[in-house]
Amino acid sequence: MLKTSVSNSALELLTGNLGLHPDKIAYICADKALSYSDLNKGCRRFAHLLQKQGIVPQERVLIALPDCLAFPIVFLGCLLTGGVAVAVSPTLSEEELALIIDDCGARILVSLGKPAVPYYAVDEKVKVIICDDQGQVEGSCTSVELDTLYQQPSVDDIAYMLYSSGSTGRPKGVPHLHKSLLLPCDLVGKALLDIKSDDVIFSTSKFSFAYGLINSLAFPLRFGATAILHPGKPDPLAVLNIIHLHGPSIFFSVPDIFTQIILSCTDRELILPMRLCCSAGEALPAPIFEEWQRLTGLEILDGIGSTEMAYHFISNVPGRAVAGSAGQLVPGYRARLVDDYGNDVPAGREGNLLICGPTKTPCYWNLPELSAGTILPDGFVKTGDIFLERDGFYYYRGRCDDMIKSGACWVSPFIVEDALRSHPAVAECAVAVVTVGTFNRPGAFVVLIPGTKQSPALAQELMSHIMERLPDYMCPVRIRFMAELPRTSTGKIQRFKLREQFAH
Amino acid sequence: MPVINELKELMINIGVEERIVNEVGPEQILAGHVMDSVHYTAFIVAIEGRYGIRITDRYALRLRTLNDFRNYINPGRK
Repeated sequence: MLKTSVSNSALELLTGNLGLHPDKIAYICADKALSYSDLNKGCRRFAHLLQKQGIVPQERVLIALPDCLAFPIVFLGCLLTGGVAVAVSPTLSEEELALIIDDCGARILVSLGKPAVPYYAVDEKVKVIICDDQGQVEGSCTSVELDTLYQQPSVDDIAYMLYSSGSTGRPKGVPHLHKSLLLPCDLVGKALLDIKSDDVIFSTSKFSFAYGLINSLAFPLRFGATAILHPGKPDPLAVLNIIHLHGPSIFFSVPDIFTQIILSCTDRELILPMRLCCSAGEALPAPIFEEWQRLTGLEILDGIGSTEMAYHFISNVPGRAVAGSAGQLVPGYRARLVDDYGNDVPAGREGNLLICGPTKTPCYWNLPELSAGTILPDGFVKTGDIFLERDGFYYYRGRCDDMIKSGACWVSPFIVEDALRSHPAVAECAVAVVTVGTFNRPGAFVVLIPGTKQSPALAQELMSHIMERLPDYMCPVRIRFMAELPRTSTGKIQRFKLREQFAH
Repeated sequence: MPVINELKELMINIGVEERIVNEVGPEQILAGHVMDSVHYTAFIVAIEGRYGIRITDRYALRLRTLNDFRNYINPGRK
């Protein structure tokens, strides 16, 4: 039976702008810019290059690029051919990159020459395409007709895939259909944020995150706007420089960055050009919302989404944002708050959030059991978050698993515990979330081997030990020594008891 | 030891480069220039442990310099 065809999202995002404003700037990155016309040509060139490499529809192409002009060219070029764009951070470790290559089965990896991905992680069967920061590949053709390239996808064809940290530390692939790139534009971009062609969008969240991908790829192209890209680390000074230089009208960021900007402000007020400031990645604490509003006069629209749902399903709306709340359900989505047995909890009570909507992932890649356990037969997806709903507004109350959101990045306690256990003084340990100021960070409980004396110096040594092995955001900010860890009768660590200890 | 020096010692203990810490003035903004958010969080934890105080969420957003921290810890002390 023939499958129903659907729009190719890349084609929709590219061609809509060509007739309207081919010379308009689509992307700005440092001192370079890319017009809609050049973006279109670049995508065709790259699609042609992939076809010369023998790419077939639904074949995965691993894209390990920073946020630069090359990314939209390579990503959309891949989608034009019917390939599956797998966007990952170019700063992945050798181990993570090798795992993802193996998991997604990519035969082609796209990277910049400098900084390069760790090639020693790349299997010799994988072809590495090196492009420059504007998507040019040495020796590729200069002009290609779109008709020879474009692939019309079937309704269940995968368009792209992102990797999310799993609770075991092993990244899990989250594929999405073409509609997942387009629907958030209508459901959030248009209906809630009223994005228009004269908007200038700046997202500190990168393309390799679901939040950044929609912010910087789908929104600007769908509405014919302009996006500013920043390939580097989003430290507050760099972010403020970009804001003052390019004057974005919409700023997408995470609580950590809003806090860092607040802390770096020397004046009593901060004059900013934005009409909208949006936050996601982790819950925005009310003090950050209030301090930002005091300094800038602007509200921050907090929202919650997930890689599994492609973008926000709960969001505040301009002019009606509530401090400390993730906002209201985005029209088009349905939510349930349930107890541990799947029964709906009454309004005002905490429950596990289940969400259903048109942008949900069809499955986890190569993980049928996890897919079946997370994506329920009735179409609802378990988010793993605990929320409370009051008067239509949702309030974040924590996680129902052990994962920690630190600086908008997922941290699996097991990875941190493995690093801690590699120290000779550690007999056993457990990691739980600790809240400091407005930040959530990992904290560690450590049981020392018999005969080892606990001391501040040893705590410091353990911290240094982990800092040598893990990225900063994974490192515990507090280490507490214990005689034994709290366990259930079956020997399982009672992490909720550890979380409670940090709270006191 | 003056509080500012104690604070600088804590900064080194949490992993901020000693060279950077030595150059920090008491009125210099710490965010971005000296510490990222991970260091900043660890710094607050270290201060709470060292001085036996609790820094509330709201105050944590207004402590921008070493002098701010010193005044919060002990307003009368140099």
